[in-house]
Amino acid sequence: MNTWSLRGLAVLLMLFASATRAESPAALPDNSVYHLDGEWLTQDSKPVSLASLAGKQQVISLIYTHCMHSCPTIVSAMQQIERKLPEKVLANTGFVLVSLTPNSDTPAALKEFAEKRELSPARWTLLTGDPQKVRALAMALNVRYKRSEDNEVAHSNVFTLIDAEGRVVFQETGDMAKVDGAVKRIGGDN
Amino acid sequence: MPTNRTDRRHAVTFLALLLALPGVGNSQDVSSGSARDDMRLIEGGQYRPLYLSKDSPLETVERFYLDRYPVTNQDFLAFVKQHPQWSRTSIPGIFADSQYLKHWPADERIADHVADSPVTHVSWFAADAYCAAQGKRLPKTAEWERAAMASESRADGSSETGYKERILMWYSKPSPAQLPRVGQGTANYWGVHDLHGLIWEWTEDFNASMVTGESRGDSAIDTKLFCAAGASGAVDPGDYAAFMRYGFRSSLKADFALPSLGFRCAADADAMQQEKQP
Repeated sequence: MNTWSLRGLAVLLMLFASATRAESPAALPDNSVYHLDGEWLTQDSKPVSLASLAGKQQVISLIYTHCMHSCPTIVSAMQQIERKLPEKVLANTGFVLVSLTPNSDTPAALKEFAEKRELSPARWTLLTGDPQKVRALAMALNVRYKRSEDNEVAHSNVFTLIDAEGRVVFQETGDMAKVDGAVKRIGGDN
Repeated sequence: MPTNRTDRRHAVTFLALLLALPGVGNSQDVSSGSARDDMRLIEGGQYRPLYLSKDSPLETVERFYLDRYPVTNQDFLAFVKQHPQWSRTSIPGIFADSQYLKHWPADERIADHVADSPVTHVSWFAADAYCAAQGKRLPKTAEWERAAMASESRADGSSETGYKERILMWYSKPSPAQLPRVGQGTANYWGVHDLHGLIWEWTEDFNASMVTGESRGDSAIDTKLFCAAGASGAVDPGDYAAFMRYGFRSSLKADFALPSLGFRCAADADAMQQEKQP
């Protein structure tokens, strides 16, 4: 092998190394929720990691699809935010719903919920995963919940904005009265 | 028939001894299960979270396995060696505050004299990851309280004279700089050691008691937990120690790594008894 091809190989290896480093969790900020591991399933049964949500800011909430009380309000508030955000901010914003009852919220159940609530598949990701991983995500977002024996869940009625690298920007109660304030804060961060 | 009477007295004494050592009976259940020698089976039962009123619904605790001892520094060192992403220098800030494993001289080194002491300065995330790595999980608060309700001779020790006082006595003492080794005291009814008297322990849902019973509206802090009106309406106002545990747990955040807070792991007794389908 001559010097040139060796040098070329070295450059290639360096490029490869930097590319993999950019994707490894080590490149994430210290306080990024994307350090959480585990595999999740989307409403389309696609296996994803939380870190795959990086690159866009995300409005994220933990809900369950058969919830009769606070969940519809949270989702409505998030939809209202989606409607009110300017197009250029929306291009860089995703919406994520994570199930608190993963055993009953199958990808099919999530899909049905998304269709019923008219959540645009381009912007909304619904996730179901291992209960232990759900709890860890909730801990990272400081979301409290407790399942009762009838599979209902008492839970913090909040949504959280996380930035493109997974850092929590702010948290707000899922209340229609808070929508305008949230829209300003989400838009302001761009 | 003096001989008969003596025999009978012996039998009664033996029976009394057996009753006093119910751990003997429990160990059969464990050995008939899988390789859970380090764990004990805790029978299920009804449990009423103490911060609710007498009219509030009971919580059912299914039978489950619980570690006999808290996780020690030595145990945790083995885990960190296998999963170096949980070492003091590698752990991301979101998983633990700056106090994480601060009593260890280096990332993968512990002082010999703390090897068998319970590991402390561990965050919830680290405890959760440790248990997951063993194929276990953290116990739920209701499970932990169910196991901790036991005295040395009864599944529910609360009616026993002096039981609550003994626990409270520990709460009133400052933690020693050097935590004693695990398993030095007597095991409780289930054969589990050190639930009281050594450290505080993480539970899987330690912060869930702050959620109100209903999911509508914001899950505001359950004020009944702290104010006097709550105490008078609670199930057992005399169980001040349990109130302290609830108060302490509710003040925690999952990234805290505190000097007297450790953990032990649990496991489902039956895979069938996992989350019920609606």
